[in-house]
Amino acid sequence: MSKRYTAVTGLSYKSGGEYKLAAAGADVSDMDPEQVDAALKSGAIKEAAVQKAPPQKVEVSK
Amino acid sequence: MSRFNSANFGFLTIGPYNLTAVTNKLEDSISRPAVESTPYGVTAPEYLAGVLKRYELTGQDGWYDDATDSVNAAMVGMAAAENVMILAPYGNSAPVAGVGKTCICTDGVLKTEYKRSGTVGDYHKASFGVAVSGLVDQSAKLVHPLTAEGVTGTSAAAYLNWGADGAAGGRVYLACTSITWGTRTGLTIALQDCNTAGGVYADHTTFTAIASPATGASEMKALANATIQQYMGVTWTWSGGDAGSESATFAVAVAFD
Repeated sequence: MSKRYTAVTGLSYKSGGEYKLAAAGADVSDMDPEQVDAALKSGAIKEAAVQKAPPQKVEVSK
Repeated sequence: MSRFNSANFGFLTIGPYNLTAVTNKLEDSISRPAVESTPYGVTAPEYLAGVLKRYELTGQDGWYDDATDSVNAAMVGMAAAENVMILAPYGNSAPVAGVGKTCICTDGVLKTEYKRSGTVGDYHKASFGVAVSGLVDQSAKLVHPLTAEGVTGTSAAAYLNWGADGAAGGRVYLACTSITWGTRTGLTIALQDCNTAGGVYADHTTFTAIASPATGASEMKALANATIQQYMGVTWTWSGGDAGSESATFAVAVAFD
């Protein structure tokens, strides 16, 4: 599963070669890969917390 | 050396008013009057270097215009307090390859005179003069030219490159001269910076949000953080309502200390 990233402040970043705008806290996982390392290092984005999927309810029929 | 002529003139805004279309002549001046210091016993006058540097815009000529966003409204209705001025005599365009147009910015413009005249067989004319209280940034750079922008977006693709990071602070100026809201209710304009051309631009200094039904705004803000990275762009973000017919005409200029 690929990593998810969120914006720390408002950002302009490239996605598919075009600039997109994201508000603080927005999901920016579609950022072009070559920008991700520098953005992480500068603190502009952070890795999103991994959310554990809720346990699936299993119905057992008797 | 570059020469400039009237075709190069970009724009003049005072407060939220664009006065370019009603102006056909401008003179601005910088002076530092020398202080006479001649004592007894000498035969020629002596002077000390002036202490105060003065900036004035006095030689404006133009036409009378009664539109609500034009010169008469500006000079009659605009607050008597200090206002933002952006004078871009060398062109109005987005930075090209990181190079932005030079402009003159201040937030201390005071109206000092407004004159209307009518002559038989001629169009009515109007002219004004302003004095400036405080600092004038003579070498500010346009990050975003005075031009209309529609839906939420960024100018990061046409970035301004200052050449080096700034660490001593500075100022950023906004003149928003017209807004069409559509169903939108708010507009926020922000300066962003980045350490590489074409990288990720993060918010640096955000102007006060503009709320409907305002038709313009102007503001000077000190850079929110003295350290600013050398590549800069501007974002405009609409809030409320639906995207569609919104539009704002604004310019943003930045000056480093």
